[in-house]
Amino acid sequence: MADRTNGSRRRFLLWGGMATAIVAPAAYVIERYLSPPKTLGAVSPAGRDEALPAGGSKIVKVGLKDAFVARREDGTLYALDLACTHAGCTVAWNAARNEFLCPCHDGRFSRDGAVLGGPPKLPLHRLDVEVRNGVIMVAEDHV
Amino acid sequence: MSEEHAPYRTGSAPEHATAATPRPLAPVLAWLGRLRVPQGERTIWYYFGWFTLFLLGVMIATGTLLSIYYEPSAAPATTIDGKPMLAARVRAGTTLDRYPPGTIIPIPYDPAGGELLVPPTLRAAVEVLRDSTTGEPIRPSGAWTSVEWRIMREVEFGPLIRSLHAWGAGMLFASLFIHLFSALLSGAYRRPRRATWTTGMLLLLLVVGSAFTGSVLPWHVLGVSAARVATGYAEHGLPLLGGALASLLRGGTAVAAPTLTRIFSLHAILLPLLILGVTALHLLLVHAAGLRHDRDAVDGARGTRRGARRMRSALALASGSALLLAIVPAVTGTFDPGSPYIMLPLAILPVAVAHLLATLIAGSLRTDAGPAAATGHAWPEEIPFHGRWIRRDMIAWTLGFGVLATIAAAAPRIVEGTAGFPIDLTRPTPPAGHVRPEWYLRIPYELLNMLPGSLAMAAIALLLLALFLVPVIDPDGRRARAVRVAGLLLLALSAALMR
Repeated sequence: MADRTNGSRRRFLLWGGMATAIVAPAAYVIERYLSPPKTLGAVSPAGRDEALPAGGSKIVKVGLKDAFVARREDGTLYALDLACTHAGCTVAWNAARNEFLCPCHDGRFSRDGAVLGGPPKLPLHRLDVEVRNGVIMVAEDHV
Repeated sequence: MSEEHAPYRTGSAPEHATAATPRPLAPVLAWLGRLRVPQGERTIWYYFGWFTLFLLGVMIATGTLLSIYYEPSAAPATTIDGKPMLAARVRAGTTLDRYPPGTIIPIPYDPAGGELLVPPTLRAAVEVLRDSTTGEPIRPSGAWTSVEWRIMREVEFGPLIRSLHAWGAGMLFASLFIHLFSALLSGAYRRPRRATWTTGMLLLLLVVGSAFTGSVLPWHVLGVSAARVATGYAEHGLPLLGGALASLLRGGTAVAAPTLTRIFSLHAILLPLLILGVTALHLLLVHAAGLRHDRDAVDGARGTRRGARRMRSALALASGSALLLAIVPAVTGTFDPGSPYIMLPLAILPVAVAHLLATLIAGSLRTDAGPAAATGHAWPEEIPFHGRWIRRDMIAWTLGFGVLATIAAAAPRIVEGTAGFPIDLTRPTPPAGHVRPEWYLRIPYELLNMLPGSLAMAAIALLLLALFLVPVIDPDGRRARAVRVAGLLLLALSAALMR
């Protein structure tokens, strides 16, 4: 009886091990294949350079993200991803308080994206911005 | 249905089914244990039918995965936020990891300003592909972008899945051709297996149709040229039905966007369903009429001698395949899975090794059924499906899939040169040069090249008709010699045309 149990266990371990050796790599490959693809970071035009004065700003779409593009008083450009770093809601500019306000949990950010209050711990993400042939270009990431 | 012709027969329950400990899966295992299948383990040819079926499963699984990302659209591709795209080639000397020199990639651009909407490092590394006559940029289709870019560049393991599908098709045809010729030369088409042969021939046609439609789907120069040539030959070479058939396939007067939709529908839905249906019928007929090779397995001392001879044949096949796999790359300078002289030995080798292994592991392979007189069934010997049969065939399948996965990982499927360029239906198609289809589609292709259109179509039709009618020409073995000679001639012709 004990021999039979041992034989059965050995057979179970042998075939179970072999099946795992075949199925596990296949399952891993399929899981990775089905996960969202690594797409090329989007780059979007944000209008002519001369059309954005010092202190001016605009909201544009970069890929599927909403982005805030602004020019400082010293003439430098910067761009922020408007997704709140707390829970991902889109923040809105509140002109009266001169700050970004998140409608979901009252997170507050300055015009430069720094945290002013509420649950967020991190500033708004910076996006790459450059002027190419007189056009402002905003990019999600580097290559 | 009589007992002799029942598709699945039941025998006495195996010992383990009566174990005292109740198990939830016990009834299922007991049923599987009672399921008997014909045994054909003493001949290597037996394996190729099952190996073809297994590869069909691989094709369905990988095809399903590919369809998740494939976009059957000939319209110009756009980004997920709707920006139009241009085709660009990575310049020589570029050292970006994700973009090897020569790769053609879709690049989003700003239609207002004409700027390429990619980061500066990538923008500096690419040149936009332009039409050679008008100089206009090429806009890749959604289909090309989904295959050559999304699956091949953006999706993890995408190249592996695509290569498994592409090289799997080659291995399936290798196994299928061996299966077909072994049946033809051994007389397996005769009574009572005539219907089995007919369904096998139907399967061959359906699989060829599936391979052709699959080659069009990437919507590159090679695929679109294949669609144009095939529908053109049908239109001008097939009397009466040719025009209607070409028009049905194209969805109009020329190969365009509707053609891709139709081809996709055929490749992904209609043909797989037909293949599954005819395969089920083929298997039922195998069960009803048995296997040709079983006859020798219970033929007493004569059968034993034949069994030993076939063991030696398997050993010779394994050695020959291994030798070919060593010699061909050495002579040609490349290991090209797209060559029949690589793919055929790649299909034979695991099967031959599995056959040898299975025969050597004698304990798990001895038949546990009596001779024909004892079973009283259409085939002389049978073994349980669950357990013995699965274990034995799993060796061949696992080895075969291991070989396939290795070549898929080592040699990703890439269509090189102009043949792989994207098609922009608003621009003239670039010349594809001398584009040849995959080796398994070359028999009709070369016949069409060598003979005038109508004559070539007549030759193909006659060849197919002759193959379909083999069981009628030689129903009982009286014309065996003539059929065997014709079969060998066809084998030689096929080998010459596929080269």
